[in-house]
Amino acid sequence: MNQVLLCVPALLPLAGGMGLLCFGLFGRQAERDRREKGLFWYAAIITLANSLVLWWLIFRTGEGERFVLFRLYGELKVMFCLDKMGKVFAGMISVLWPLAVLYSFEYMKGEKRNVTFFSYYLMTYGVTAGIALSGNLMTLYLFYELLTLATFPLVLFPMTKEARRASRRYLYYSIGGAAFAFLGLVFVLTFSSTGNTVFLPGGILDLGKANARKNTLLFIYLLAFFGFGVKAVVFPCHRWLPLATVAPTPVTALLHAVAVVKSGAFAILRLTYFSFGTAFLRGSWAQWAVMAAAMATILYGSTMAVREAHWKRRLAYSTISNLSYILMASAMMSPLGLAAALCHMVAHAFMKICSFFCAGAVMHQTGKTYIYELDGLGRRMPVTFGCLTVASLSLIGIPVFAGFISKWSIAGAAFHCGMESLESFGKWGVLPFAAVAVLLYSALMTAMYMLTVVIRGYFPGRESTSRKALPSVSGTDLSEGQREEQPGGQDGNLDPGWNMLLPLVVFAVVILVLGLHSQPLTKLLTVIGGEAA
Amino acid sequence: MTLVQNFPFFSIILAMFSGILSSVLSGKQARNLSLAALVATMVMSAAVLAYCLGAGESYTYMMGHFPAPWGNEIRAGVLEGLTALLFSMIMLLSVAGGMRYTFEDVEASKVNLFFIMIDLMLSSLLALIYTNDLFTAYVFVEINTIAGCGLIMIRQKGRSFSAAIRYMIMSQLGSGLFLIGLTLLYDVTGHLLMSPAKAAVAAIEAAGSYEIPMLVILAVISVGLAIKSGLYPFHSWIPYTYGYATPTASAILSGLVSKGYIFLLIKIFYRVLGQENVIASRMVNVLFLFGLAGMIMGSVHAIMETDTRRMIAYSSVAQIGYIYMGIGLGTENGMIAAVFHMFTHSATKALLFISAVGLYEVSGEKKDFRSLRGAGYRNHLAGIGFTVGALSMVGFPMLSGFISKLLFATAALQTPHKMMLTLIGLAVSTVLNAIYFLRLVITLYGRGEASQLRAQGTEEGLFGTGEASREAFSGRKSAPTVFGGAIICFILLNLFLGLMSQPVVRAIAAGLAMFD
Repeated sequence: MNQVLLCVPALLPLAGGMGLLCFGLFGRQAERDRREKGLFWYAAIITLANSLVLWWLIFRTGEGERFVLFRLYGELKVMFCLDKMGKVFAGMISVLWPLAVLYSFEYMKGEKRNVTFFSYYLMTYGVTAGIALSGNLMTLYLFYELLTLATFPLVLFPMTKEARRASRRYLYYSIGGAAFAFLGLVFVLTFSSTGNTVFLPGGILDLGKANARKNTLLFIYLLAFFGFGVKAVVFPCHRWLPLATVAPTPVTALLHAVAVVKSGAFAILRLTYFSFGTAFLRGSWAQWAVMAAAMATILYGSTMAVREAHWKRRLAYSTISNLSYILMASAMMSPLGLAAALCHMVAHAFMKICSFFCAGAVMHQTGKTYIYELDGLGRRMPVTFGCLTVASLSLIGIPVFAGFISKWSIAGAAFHCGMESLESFGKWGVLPFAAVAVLLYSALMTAMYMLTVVIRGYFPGRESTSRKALPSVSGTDLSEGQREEQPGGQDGNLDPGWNMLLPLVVFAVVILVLGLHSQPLTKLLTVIGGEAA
Repeated sequence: MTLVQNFPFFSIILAMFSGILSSVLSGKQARNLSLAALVATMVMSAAVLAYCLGAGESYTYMMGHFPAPWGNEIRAGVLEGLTALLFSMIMLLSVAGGMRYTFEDVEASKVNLFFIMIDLMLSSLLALIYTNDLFTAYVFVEINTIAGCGLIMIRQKGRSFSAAIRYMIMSQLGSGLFLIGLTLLYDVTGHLLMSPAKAAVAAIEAAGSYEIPMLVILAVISVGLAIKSGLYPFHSWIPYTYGYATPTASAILSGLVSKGYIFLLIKIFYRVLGQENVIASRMVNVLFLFGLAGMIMGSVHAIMETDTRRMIAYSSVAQIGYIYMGIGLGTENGMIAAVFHMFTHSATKALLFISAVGLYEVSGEKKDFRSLRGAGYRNHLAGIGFTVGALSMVGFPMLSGFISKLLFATAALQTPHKMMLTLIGLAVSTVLNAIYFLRLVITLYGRGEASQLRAQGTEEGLFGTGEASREAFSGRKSAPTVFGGAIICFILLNLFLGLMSQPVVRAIAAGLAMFD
């Protein structure tokens, strides 16, 4: 009975979303409008119920409990299980999703096609939970493909020309990536010692067979890395993400900063530590190649973020660089590396969703999307900008915030890996040390691109105050249109309603708590790392 | 001899006689007869399949009173039964799905001719599948070509005449080469029945004589049938043929007819020339390379195309390339993958053609794929059908295309020197497939920008099912149930091949083993 429950978190929201889509699309317009009122409760109940099931599973599932849903072909089964690493990912999304749904309700109010939006939003929850719960590479691959399908309608949602272009590119990149990841799947299946693709700590390759064709396998690993890396926005495959910011903010925040990109990173972690295994990959040219790719991505992403003036796109570039922190840590192929990767995965999830939600709150309240428009908003949206400040400081890696813990562990893992590699693998062992330098450079860039927003918000500067604030005193600056509707008036508080603020505050608190009291998390992650590598 | 063993013969003759009978019937009666023949064939093929699976071996069936070296024979095994079952099923669904368009496209007085062609097509396909005699195969290849031309031409609109002429010329070239191959083979071996011919070929190979003639025979037969099935450099007729015929004809021609020739080629490889000789002669490498080129070039052409149906047609070129690549791997697993992909492609391509026409209907019958914007909201089932088909072609898990891809990839792993080429080819071709198929899917579900569409006065259609816009576009009532039923059955068939592929693959392996 217990084991059957393992498939619930994946299937319940999928079924719920599909049901919503079917009920929502048929029938007359007036009838659909009436039904839309129940939408909030429907989505909220399904999301909450699913999170509760996930939590129940996280605390109750023991190692080795598995549930096979069906057999796809031969040894390729769709199988669910929840090991420690899956629990970390599942725990993360189960916290984020209900809050994001709450936020979206306020944000999406007045949209015409909320039924479509929320049905896909729900489905994505199921698919992401499926990725967390997948017990073998086949299941992971299946949900990875489903994720593309469930999220592309959300990118397409605004239905503008840019949205169509963005969703097209998103689809091409994702499906193309999956085509290469597929090769990894086939090779793992053929060379596995267990005869299937199950995830086992330390990998399942039959080393005797695999070493005979080592270079081929390493090449395939590289292809699969970049295949899954499309979703994790590794450098040559990153171009869909900045475009995809045309989607509504709840989508950009939850999916393109957390669920989708982290699924890609999670898949790479699974592939590296649980399928190919570090024993096979460590010290090979493939390790240096992926490490170099991750480093290049960090440099590129953080530099581009400084250049970008559109707020959400800037955050997207920041996501690109931060995702590669995870990949760089995982490329250390050591216990510390895996622990650091997971740590940054969790920390970055909260930091980035918080920053995106702040950007969304500003867009929703004032319609401003470019950074140079934000002058002086910090005083009028105190809570929003307070949370943004916490998230920014954490992203930079200032102590007492979560970002510090994860960056510290990445640097530690890199240093440790470098010391070992220098001894065993000669000159390539220098590369992990370079990772530390990359981290420092990126921290500097992060400070530049995140703090400019905060500083503009709080300290608008004399010139812009005189130019922009004056008309607003005289009450003629109504050109933005939306400002009229704000209850707070011209100088009043522009912070959004409670259901947009609550998630922000919760995330900021989580960032602080993780930063001050990281012991339980890091201990768990160290155990995972120790088992898997 | 049990009754079941007669079924292959019954189904061929039944289809043929219903064709003859249809010439004096009205269109509606001819349709009913044709559907009845299809259903009967389906049932009989299923019985044959069950019988062969139960018996665990194939059997030959003597036609007339002359025993083996002289008379004519039919042979049925697991693979024949399975292929006949799937082919008749897909044909039935294609005919049913495109029924209304058939009655609209074809002149009322000629509808019965259309069904004669369908019946002849069915009987010739069945004969190609079941026959054990090379010359019978040739005769039915010709009947098949004629029926195909008729099916293309009967629309009598637009460029269907030139399409039919193209098809005729290319097909005749293929048949001609095939005939030359047969003549040479007959010269060398003295047999036209497959089993004695194979024994003679084995003796010749053992003696080491006739080396060059044997190579020529192999090359000429392969190339002839490759032209007829539309392998890459010989594909120029495909976009015209599939692009301008009635939907049923397009579905049948792309889904079944080309596969019939491939099936014949596989049968000749195994049952006459000997698969090991074919591999030794390196002919497989040629097929492999052309297949690979087709996989890539077909998709590239499809990407450049803006006419939806020609796009789907070019995708067929790519898929035929997959099948030849599988044959070209030269291993048993490669052949299994090729045969499985034959089924996948038949089921999927027919689905695509049939649902595409449903989408056209609600979008003003324009050729450009951009005119289909939002069509998925106007005809839900067709939209879903097209999406499922497109995803299957891209190789989405749980659909049949994924299993084909998996079989190809695992087969490639066992042939070291072709492995990398195959794998990279598969990956690149998947990306290319994704580009044009998903572009179409996005178009189907992308609504135009509000202002622009409001100008067209179809705002209601943007935000819902849009009864109004559907009628505005087509002036017709909602889609008929037959069409919907066919689409649903096609989707189920795809899901079946994707989720429960194991028995099918096992049957293919057993059937190929029976070929020897």
